[in-house]
Amino acid sequence: MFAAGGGIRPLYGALAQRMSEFGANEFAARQRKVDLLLRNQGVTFTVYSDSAGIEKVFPFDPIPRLLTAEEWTRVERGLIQRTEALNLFLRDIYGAQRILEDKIIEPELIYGASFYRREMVGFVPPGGVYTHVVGTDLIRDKDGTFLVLEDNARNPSGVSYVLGCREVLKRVFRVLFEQYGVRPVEQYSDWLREAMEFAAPEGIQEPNVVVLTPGIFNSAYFEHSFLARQMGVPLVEGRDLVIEDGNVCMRTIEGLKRVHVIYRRIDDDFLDPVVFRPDSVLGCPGLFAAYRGNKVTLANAPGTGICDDKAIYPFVPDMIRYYLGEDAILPNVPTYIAARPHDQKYILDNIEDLVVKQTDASGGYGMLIGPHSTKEKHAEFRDLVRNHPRSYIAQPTISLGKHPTLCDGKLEGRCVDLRPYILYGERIRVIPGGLTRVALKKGSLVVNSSQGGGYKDTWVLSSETNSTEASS
Amino acid sequence: MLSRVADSLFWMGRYLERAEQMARQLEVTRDILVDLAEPDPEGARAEWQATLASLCVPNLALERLVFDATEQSTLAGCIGQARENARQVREVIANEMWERINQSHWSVIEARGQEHDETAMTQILSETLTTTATWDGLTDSSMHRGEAWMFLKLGKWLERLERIARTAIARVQQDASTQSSTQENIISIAMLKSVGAIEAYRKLSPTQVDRRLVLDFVLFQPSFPRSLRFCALQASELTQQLSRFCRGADGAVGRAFGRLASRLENSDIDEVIDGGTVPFLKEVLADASRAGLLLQSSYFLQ
Repeated sequence: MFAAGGGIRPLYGALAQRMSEFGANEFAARQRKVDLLLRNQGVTFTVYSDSAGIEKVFPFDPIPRLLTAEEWTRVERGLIQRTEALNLFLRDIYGAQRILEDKIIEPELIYGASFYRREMVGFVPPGGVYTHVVGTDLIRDKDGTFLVLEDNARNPSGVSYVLGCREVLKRVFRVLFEQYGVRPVEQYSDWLREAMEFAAPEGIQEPNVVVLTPGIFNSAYFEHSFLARQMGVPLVEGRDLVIEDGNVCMRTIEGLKRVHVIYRRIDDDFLDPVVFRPDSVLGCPGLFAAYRGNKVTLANAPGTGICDDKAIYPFVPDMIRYYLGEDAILPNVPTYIAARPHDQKYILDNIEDLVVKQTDASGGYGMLIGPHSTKEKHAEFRDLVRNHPRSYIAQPTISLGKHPTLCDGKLEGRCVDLRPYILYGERIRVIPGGLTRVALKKGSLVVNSSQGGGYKDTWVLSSETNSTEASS
Repeated sequence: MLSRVADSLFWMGRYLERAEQMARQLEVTRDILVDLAEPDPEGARAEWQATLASLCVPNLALERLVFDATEQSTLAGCIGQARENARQVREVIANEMWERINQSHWSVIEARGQEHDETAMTQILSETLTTTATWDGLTDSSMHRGEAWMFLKLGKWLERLERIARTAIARVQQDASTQSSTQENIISIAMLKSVGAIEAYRKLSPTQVDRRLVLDFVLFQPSFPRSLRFCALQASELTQQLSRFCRGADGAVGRAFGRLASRLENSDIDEVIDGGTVPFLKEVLADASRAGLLLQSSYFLQ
């Protein structure tokens, strides 16, 4: 929203105008109303470390983030391209492995990845679709170019906040929507259901779809229940499922009922104690065998976590070139791979200026932000990088784009990122917008909800609205 | 419908009914204690004991009985558990139903720290009654009459029946241990009020408050929705409907609820009093608990 000179971009003119008409009291009252609505709807997440009140409302900032139609078109095209390439990569890596033979990626990086699943080798899910739902994290650099920060091809969460906050914002700040043609996001759940039904094993006409949750204590439980409700399908836990005659069934009051597609919101490790972690009680014994026998579809497929591996991430532009013969529309953030001797030396020499990340961690954990850290931490991460090179990468510290955010009643610039949601059914589709996460602490670069982040609504403007009209 | 979901619906119905009964009972007891505290400390103690017995709760101070969410049997505990069950079945109940119970839960939490404030107490008790009434209205006006609705209602009627039977037992025992006749009158009125029957009783009964008539009303009044007979008949009818919906279950559940209903339909107040009211009520409770367990093993534990 801020222009290069620090002022407000013309695109936001109408919004700023509308907001200034409210006056401080009216605005504060409306904001309280927003918070209350979100709480009453139960839009919450769970914090494990905090025993006082384990259910928290994810802090919501009412100032929306605006994206023009042109900006969005580019993002959308880039995400579709990236998702297509990642699925071809998964099919290859669990199949012929041409990309390794052609020496595009070092085999060690694949086999050393903690999310590579040997159990998937030689199996192709229906339609060759591995990632039915992807959430890709984007940031804007200081020139305003969108860069891909990381891929989330396992179980990206957060879409319920996008849908929930839009509903509430429309109710309380309807006036802000005037003059802007904001593209709707409500179709997400229909698209999700379509993608799930399309993923059904071959020959199934009317598939029974379920959402599989680890249960009420999971931090994203609200979302699981929300999506099940929106799609109109049962929300099941592992204990509701049982294998009978090789088929996956759920226990109902009328006896067992067959399940064809499972939108699973539990990690690979917990899916099936027979194949993965033997101590897991969250999944269902025999589930994986049923999956490989084409009796049921798991969405996303097991083994997609390899795409989230931060040591694989630097190769995605190469994959796009290799599989699609195109240049990546959305560039990556430059990345140094500690497993490469030359890169490692660079990381060790420049750690004060870099962001160092653990390759198989997420949620802002296992991470060093060089410029914001201490000498002791630098030394600690140098040791980690030296001793576990496969587990670390580093990137230059990017100054994230800032966006006006309400802090104690005043507008201040705070760092934001963007997570759009990509659905892969019959074709690949992206809901316009996504989750804009904001680092609420002054100067912080970490936007994760588990670490003091909040979120905003993201408005993609329809092409009829041009920015001059909106800013007049 | 998933067995686990049916189970949650049943318990959600029960916890909400329990919360309602508790809020009403505590409102009544608070009123009575105001009257008794000075002139009759002995009677006040007996009243409090009867309250605890009819609610089946441990001997906690009134503030804790209302606000302490760490105890399962308190009002805050019941609301919390109803909400917890609701959270697990949000995809089958109406959204407004969830919002209502969620709001109630947060109200109790926000009232923490004002436990000794008389107004806060009054506010929570009356808000609970409004919540459960709204909830009932939403259940009937926004849910289609499928399995989800039936399990919710079954939980409700079964819980109500148990609560009324326990209230009646506690009051009959309290009655037996007091001598004065003014006391007796207080106890009978308290019994009517605790099940929310005082107004209906006055409309339907020709004479003044009388021990036998009150008992007859609370146990057997066929047209009043908070009499034992009424609850049993509703529950029995629901299990009949349910068995038509779900092919899986055999007729055992229906028979168990039918037995409970026919015991209450074919009994006469004078015979009950002659044979001992408390033993009769305990048999009713045993029937109800057997029927409840059978319901759970037939539908929930597949």
